[in-house]
Amino acid sequence: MNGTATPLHGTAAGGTVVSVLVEIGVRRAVGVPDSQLAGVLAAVSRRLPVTFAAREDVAVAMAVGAGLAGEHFAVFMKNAGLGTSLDAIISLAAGAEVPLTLVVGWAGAGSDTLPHHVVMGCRTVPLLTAAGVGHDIVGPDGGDASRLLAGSAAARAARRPYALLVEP
Amino acid sequence: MSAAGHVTRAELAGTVLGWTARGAHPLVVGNGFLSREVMAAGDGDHVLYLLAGMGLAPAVAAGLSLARGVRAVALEGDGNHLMGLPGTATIGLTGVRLTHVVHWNGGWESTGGQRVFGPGRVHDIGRAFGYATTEVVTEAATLGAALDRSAAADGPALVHVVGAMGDPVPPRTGLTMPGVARRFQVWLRSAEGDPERAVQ
Repeated sequence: MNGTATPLHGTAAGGTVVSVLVEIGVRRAVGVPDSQLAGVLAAVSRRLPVTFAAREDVAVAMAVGAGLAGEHFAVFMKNAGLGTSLDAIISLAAGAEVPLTLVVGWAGAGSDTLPHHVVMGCRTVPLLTAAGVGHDIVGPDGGDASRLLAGSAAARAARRPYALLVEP
Repeated sequence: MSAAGHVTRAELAGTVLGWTARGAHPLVVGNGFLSREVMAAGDGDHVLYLLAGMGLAPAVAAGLSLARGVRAVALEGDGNHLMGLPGTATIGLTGVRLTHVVHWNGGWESTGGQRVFGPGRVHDIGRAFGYATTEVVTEAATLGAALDRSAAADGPALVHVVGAMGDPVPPRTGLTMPGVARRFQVWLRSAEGDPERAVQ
């Protein structure tokens, strides 16, 4: 599908993401839908309540409120949403010391060569790194669930934000 | 001192602070002069000041409400409200139990008093997004009753409080976001802040 369409992610990635989220104690997923994450969201919605937000920073803020109340909400978004939620991630969530778990659709990477996706896709990892968000990649085959779980759990234990970067 | 046709920031802060303390409602306050005013009105462990995250106080309160199943309260000025309209939309569409108080004084007072917008009809936004109730308050004496009605709403309630520019400004506080958040968490875990514990 080079450069012409955004592929829906298969069930392998969805299964991995769900297993990680459930294992680290996520009770709800909140975020903005993304075509890249459609398969993942379908899998998540079979195990967890899902709340849709109008914008990504709203979802981050809702996760912060829940986190202060002792509940763990995961936040899902397309990578473009990292731009609109950057302040909420690096000042609000970090300031409130609420560790975020993000599920990010990585548009503009791998088989997705749409120019308006690539412009963000090539900057996604540097942006996460600059924002102090740990991350690992969930490939189309679901990747190594045990490694992803270890990374997510370690970040949470250290009260640091962490992103599961879902690759096309 | 009360003024005809509008509610001063001090009146608003004092009334909302007292009402939330009496009802053990968690209160999330947007940044700017309102945070200073709530602090000057007496502060409280049930108050979370968003020193970061402009426009996101209602969304933080909504997450708290979803997690706890309790009515949370968000208090913000009009600048915060305009910035956070996607949060208002989300709250209306999800129907969380939230009392959302907006102080509409017609400008960005803490950044130099830029007067940009007119009186506003912010309550119409709540209605359009599906809030259960919306109302306008123009006198401090009627604010408490409006808050009481909001608590009875089956879903989010928007209270549009008409203010004016030029109120006296309290001094900046020495609070930090981590310090305020830790205090708020301790209160949420206490018997007062946790209804499930309170009834045991």
